[in-house]
Amino acid sequence: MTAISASGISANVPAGWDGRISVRGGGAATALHAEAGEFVMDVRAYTVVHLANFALPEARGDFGSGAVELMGPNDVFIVLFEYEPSAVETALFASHAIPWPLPLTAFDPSRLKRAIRGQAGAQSFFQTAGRAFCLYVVLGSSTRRAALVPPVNQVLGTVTIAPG
Amino acid sequence: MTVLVVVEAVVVALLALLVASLLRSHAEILRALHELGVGTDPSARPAPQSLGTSSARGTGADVQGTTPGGEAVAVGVVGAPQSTLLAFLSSGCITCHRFWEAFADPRLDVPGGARLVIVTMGDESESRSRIAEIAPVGQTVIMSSRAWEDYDVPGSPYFAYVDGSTGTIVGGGTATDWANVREMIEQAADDGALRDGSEHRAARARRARARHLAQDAREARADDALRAAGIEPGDPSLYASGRSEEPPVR
Repeated sequence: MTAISASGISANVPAGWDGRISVRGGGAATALHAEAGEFVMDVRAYTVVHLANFALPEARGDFGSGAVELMGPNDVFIVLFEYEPSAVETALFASHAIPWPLPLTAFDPSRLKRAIRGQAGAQSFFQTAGRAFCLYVVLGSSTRRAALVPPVNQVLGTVTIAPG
Repeated sequence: MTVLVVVEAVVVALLALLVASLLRSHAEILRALHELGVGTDPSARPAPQSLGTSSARGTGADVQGTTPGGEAVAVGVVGAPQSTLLAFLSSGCITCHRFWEAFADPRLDVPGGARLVIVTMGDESESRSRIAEIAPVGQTVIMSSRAWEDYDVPGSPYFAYVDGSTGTIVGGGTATDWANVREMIEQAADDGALRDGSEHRAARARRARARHLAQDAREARADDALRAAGIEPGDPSLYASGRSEEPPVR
């Protein structure tokens, strides 16, 4: 078990798993040019967490494009994606309940961001510590949900989120 | 006069001692550099440690650190579904530059289907910006001094091959170029140091097929040369006793 931590988020990565915590935006101000003049759009960085029980490729999208295509039937891929701070005010992120542990019924092929035969996905939107997140989990095999979901929940159980 | 000669003799003796100790020190430095793969003779290659079977090398460890871009990262090595080749490199070592360049090749093929992970020292010993500059696109690069300690790395370049299923470090050592590393890993695979997984069986089958094809090609070249010399199958000159055999019925 290896602990990784960045940007107020930490997780314990089991032996043999890969974990990444990336900070997008790096806190750099984004300038927006408008007719009324130039003003700063958003100065806060946001975070993307990837956890997987297979080797994560370097070239992969925030929601796993480039990685989910490599998954075998025993593989799982977890994404915790942080949205902009103002998202906590929206209805989509109204839930303050941490979505894990995930029930088996949370997974369905129709919940995949990119449909891949045999796979199943789960999506949950929530806010905690004043930060808005999407939890997205992909299972390599929909029919193996009973075996794959427990280790997913075990890893998610170690994730902690502090105020940004 | 005698005193002067004696003093001069003592000075000469002291100078000779100084020169001898300097030469010895120089030889030790050269020997150490040679062992690390640094030298002026391009044909000189240090003898790498074998990647052969060795349970004494111990167990590997997962690698934790940061990417050159600043991501927190953990890479599963022990218990991973595939084996891992850890390449401990630095930005400053001359020999390492051959590996940085070799790993940038998109056609790079790691024997045994292993995953390549490049590990440099952390911020205290490496320049993050320099590593980001030379890190090959598409390869996993982790800055982690802890990993260097875990694998007892004596210096760069250094390689450790870890069997994913058992977590055993089946081999480790230094090398001067990628061909040298490939050779060592393939030798370890042939020696059975790696687990008998399907990818290794497949790799062995590929190598066996390549050897078989190479042998076929040699035989075809020999047949062509014999035919060009007017020697056909069954020619008496092909047999030591001069006896001609009936050609096999096809």
